Amino acid sequence: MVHQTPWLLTPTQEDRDALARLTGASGLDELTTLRSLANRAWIEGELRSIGRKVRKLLSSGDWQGWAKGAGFTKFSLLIISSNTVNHLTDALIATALRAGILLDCRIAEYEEPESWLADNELELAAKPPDATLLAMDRKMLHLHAQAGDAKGADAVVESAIARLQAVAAEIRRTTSKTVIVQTIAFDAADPQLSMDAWLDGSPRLLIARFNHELVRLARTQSLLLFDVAAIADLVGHATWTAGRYWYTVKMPFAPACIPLYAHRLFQLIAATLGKSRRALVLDLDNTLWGGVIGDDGINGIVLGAGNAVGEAHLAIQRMALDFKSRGIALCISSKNTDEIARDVFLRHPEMLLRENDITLFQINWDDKASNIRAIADAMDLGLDAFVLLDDNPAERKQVRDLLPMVAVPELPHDPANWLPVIQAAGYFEQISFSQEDKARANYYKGNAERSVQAQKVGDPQKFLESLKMEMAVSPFDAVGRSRIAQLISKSNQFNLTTRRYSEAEVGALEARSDKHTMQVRLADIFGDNGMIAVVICDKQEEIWEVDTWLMSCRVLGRGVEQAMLANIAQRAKAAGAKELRGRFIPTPKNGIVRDHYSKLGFEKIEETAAGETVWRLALANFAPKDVPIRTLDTGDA
Amino acid sequence: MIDETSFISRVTPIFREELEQDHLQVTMDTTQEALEKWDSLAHVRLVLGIEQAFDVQLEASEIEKVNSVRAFYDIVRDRGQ
Repeated sequence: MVHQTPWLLTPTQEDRDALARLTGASGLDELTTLRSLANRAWIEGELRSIGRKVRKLLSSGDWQGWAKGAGFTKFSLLIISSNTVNHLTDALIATALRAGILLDCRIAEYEEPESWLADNELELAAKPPDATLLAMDRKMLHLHAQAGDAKGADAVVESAIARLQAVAAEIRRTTSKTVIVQTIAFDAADPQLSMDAWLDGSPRLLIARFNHELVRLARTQSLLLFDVAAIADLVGHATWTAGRYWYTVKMPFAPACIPLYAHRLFQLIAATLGKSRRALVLDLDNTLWGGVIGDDGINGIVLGAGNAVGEAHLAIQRMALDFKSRGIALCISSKNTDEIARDVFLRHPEMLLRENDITLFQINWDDKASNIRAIADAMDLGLDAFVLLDDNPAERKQVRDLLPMVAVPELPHDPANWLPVIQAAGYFEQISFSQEDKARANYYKGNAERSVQAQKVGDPQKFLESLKMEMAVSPFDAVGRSRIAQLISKSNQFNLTTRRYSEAEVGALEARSDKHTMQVRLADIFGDNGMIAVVICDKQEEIWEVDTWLMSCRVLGRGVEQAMLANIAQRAKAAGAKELRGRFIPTPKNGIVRDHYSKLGFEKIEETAAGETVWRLALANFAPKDVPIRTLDTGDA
Repeated sequence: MIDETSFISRVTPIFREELEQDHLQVTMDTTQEALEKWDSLAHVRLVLGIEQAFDVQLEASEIEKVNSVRAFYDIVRDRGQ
């Protein structure tokens, strides 16, 4: 059953014993143990019990230190709901920990969110939660109409959307942070007739129209959409419905579905924090095709139409291609002889996946964990960006044990049953989708081609010149907004301060005269790299301080930082500033920029015990380094 | 059919967990009135915990009315595992 999160391991007696042994005494160790234990298919009550332990640990613990040193991220969530959702808190805390998120969850159960917001405005503004989940239901939104009353139905949907928009705007105004809205699920207690699909005012049609308008609202107002209706569709409304728990305590949906709801909510939130998965590693034998290529040969493996097993493997390939079209990189890791296995990609007529679709092949006799590590290194991606699909339980276990950051779904024995499990796990959640995303898989390819060019040309300087790079710089604008927000939320490595801003906050920066903003694109002879860097500076009279400087690691080592600094310095000088200030805030992931400012000629003026450093550059005698990049600055002079 | 002693031994950890009282002792005669932490929020959690532990479904009227360890026992004895 999909609401029981079947892609996670079933908890064992050892897991339960390990859980019982935790005393809450040894802070970070226990938190790490809890994180790995949370990664099981616990039922609702067990998940709550884990969450309770986490909450206790956090209430006495050093959040700040844990968040910095051990790869955990602090996150505060406010849930405003007209229903009973208090019982969700501990399950959410446990699920958040799965993604390395230390959750501080606050609940406001209120019939009228407007008056709650008015009463709590000051407090909210003073200590805004990182995100507010607006869980409004049909009753609160007055989504009811008479059967057959077309005008009444339209008016009800319109006013519900208007109300939601106003509440969301108020939260946005008060907190300046992410606002999450939910679609509304169909209700198994409503009429389920075919006529309800067309009957004006029927609950089904009202909800469908409301959801349609809500999606539009979310996209135009930069609200984060949590598609709860899709989750309810997936598990089935008869399973989803709260039933007796609605009539007794006003729960919005069945408690048994909480593990799935929580899992999907935190996949969405993780995506806003740059913790989404970006690459799918596929096994070959009995995963992409039926049979073993080394034994059965290219004519013996089972793949393609006319055979049930062949159809199932074809569907897995089709799924992978669909992920690729969303910018997910596809890689192969398989214990095989490279030549023999790769030949299938070149010659098998039924293969949907071709050599070109694959970013990296690791076909050899090494163990899987080593191969996945090699892929991660070659692609310059963290291990927590990877998902492994493998039919072999032993391989799955090896990777899970050695590389716990890699997501390894449990899979049913029959490949015909794989897809619903993988899709329910929802690994590749994204909060926006840009032109860059569509082409992202090609960027990885382009990188591979550039490294071939580098080998050909030899001299690194000559190589850079041969790329004929053009860097386009412009201030933040509405067109770039969603990509800028995406980079700000996703960049972990080349990111000096790792300050996250929501799409709404990015939009607000466009009009600020006390900020200097830059969106940077780079093109070369191999194509357009898209937007690759973002800078935000605080402009003071004499000093410009770099609040945010991040860059895509795809363009490392090409002189882009130097060209950007030259541009910033020129701008700052023109505005009358005397000095640039830079700051490096260390995280477990951004070690590559520790010496960023030092390399650019800044001098260190401050260093804290935690490793945070502050740097200055006097503009009077600054001479930009000559790099083979032509800069086109389209900002106002 | 579960006897009172084994019910108490299985239900005690649930009460301790859901009411967040590590050393709580419950008996067949423990009532909601006697336990300060057994408020309406804790009540929902207790019902969820006991339903899942004993694989039993309480009816809406029972969720509302069940207000003592004995009342839980009566339901579990008749229908639970």
